[in-house]
Amino acid sequence: MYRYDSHDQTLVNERVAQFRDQMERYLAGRLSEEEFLPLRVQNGLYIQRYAPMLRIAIPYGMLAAYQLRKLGDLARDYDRGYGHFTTRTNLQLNWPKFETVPDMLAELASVQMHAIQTSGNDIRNTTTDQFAGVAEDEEVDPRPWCELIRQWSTFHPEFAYLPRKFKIAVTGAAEDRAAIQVHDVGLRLWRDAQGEVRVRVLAGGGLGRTPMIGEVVRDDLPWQHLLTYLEALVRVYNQFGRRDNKFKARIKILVKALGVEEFRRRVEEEWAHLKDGPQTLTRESVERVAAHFVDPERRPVTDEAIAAIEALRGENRAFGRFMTNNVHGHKVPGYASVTLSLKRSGHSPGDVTAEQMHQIADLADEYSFGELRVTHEQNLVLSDVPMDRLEALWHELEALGLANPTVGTLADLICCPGGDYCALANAKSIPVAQAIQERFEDLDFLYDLGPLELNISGCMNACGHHHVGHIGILGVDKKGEEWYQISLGGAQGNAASLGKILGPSFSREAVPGVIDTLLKVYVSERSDDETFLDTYRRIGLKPFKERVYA
Amino acid sequence: MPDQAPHSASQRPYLFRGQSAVDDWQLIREGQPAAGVPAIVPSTNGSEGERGQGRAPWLAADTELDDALAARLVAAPLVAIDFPKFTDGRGYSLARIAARASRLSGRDSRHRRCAGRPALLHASLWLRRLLAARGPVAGGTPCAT
Ligand code: HEM
Ligand code: SF4
Repeated sequence: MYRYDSHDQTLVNERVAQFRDQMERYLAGRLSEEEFLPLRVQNGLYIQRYAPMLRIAIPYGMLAAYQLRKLGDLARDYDRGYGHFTTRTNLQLNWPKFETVPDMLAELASVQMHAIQTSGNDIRNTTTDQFAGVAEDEEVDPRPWCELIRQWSTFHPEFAYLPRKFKIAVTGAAEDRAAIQVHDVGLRLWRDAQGEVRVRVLAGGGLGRTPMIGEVVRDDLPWQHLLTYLEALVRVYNQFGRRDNKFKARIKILVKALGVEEFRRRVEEEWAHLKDGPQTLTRESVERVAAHFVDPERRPVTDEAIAAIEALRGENRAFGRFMTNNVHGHKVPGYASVTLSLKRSGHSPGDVTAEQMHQIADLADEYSFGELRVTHEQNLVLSDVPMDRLEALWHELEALGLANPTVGTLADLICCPGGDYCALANAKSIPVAQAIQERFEDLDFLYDLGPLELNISGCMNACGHHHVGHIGILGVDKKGEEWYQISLGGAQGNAASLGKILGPSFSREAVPGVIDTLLKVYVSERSDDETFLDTYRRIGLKPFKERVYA
Repeated sequence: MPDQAPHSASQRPYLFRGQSAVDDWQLIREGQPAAGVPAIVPSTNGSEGERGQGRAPWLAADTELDDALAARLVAAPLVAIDFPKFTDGRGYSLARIAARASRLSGRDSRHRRCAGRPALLHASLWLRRLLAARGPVAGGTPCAT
């Protein structure tokens, strides 16, 4: 886990002092609303539908136990006792008092955290694989590279006022768990024949109003040039991205308008000036950062202990379900990653109470070297659990209501805050999520359906990633009423695709029934062990459409 | 105060190479500046005005630099860049490209701009670290462009 040095700490402390001053001037009426807006959004402070919202950065989803404890303190002392993990692996507090935000930022700075660039038209929090550094299928550990990108992009003076927000995702594993194809920039780290790291650079992917899959700008960039190349790429976007229409301002529109060849030509032309310049990475500079991400001292777990866990899995059905769905392979035999499900009926997806944050922090200390990860599916992961402690951990998670054995199933749906909180929403999303979770509660039914991703967004901004859900639900406004459009066939991962709209939208009450019909079509049409997505890709939209609108 | 020099109202003190200096440049958005007044004029105004002493070009945010313009920048006493709104960040990239273009054309802007400057207050975390690691060099802080 990365630890601040004096540069990081000074920068964050200075920012707290600066924002405190800006807030005082605003409250005293010396800064206008309009002047204060870009200042506060660069510190993660939004005005939501009913209250302010503070979005706290969790760089590439990595969180130390002591940090999560502090987040719990903040939720308890400054908010209404809970927080919401987002699809960008950040934490949102939905009810802070405006004037106390500088104090909250000071508390965050005391645990090496901040809310810088969690909003605004700048380079946002970089995201990565939740199993970075422990995945079995990993070629290159993305964490040091994410940290280098964080340092390069934090307060980059040239890129504070881009045409629009800018999101980077990084993966170094065979299976893309970071959705790099639907980001402004996606980076796939790989190793060449000499074992040196190379980077495949994708640009122009994105969701939102005009969803697009990113295109390869450069396949084999040597690692030394990562930052200079990114600088050239973002510079081209900063200069030529559209600024006349905010719906056309993302880089995907520029890449599309120029064509990827012309975009690449401009980037390479700019890069020719920066290549081998002072920002070129040296082995030493990378190693300095990589030293923060060394493996913990893992004690060996005996084969007998592993065998005992496997035996228990067969004997105890509930534990077996947990093992199958929430426990994931690890690069070190005898260890596992465990997903803590933040999807429980009666709770908004991604929500955690202050008390739970404290309890989870204790579990991280107790079972996983004091580290956690936030997933873009809005769950938490303990990434380093010795297998002989899985049973004990499971009991503790059960007691906290965090052991729901539904990770990767329909019940593990992704959902944005929607109309309950968000000022931009066309419709509420949380009640839809809850209605679906309630209707499809039966575990055997969920397991029979197999891997199924259902994503809900309250508006076109697509914070709930509805375009890449196998089933996507989008809130739309029809003459002031809340309606829901359903799409099928979206997917993240290596074979990413964008969902196709099923047809006319539905009322909120109708949505669970429509989902039910879609699932019935799948169950009756599937062959062998086809997943929902497989079946959809084979038979297409038509059979689903015919049944739903029959 | 009609009998005062037209530019005195905007004289702003600033630091240059560690010395206090005064910025008495006038920005003339339209029309012709008065003779003898140091003036920044739109670069599209034609090059005549700039060539003489005390005329500097003002670049629109969407300026795309070509060789001819770069050559004019080299000859200019200073280069100004328009920020139509402060949330329009194109000027930052243009500044770096323009500075580079002048440097490439042989102007020693690197040392002139950097010598004796304070720490980069608004530099990225990465640049801060980079500059700290390199330490002071002869002639001032190294540029990161
Ligand atoms: C406290 C205020 C400021 C200080 C102390 C400061 C200081 C500096 C310094 C020392 C450099 C030199 C970097 C280099 O040589 O590479 C620089 C570059 C630059 N500054 Fe500032 N600056 C300030 C405010 C601003 C503002 C308000 C803007 C824009 C509205 C701005 C835009 C730029 C740009 C675009 C460069 C890059 C030039 C280049 O790299 O070629 N600065 N600044
Ligand atoms: S998708 Fe729309 S409604 Fe949902 S959080 Fe994003 S902006 Fe708000």
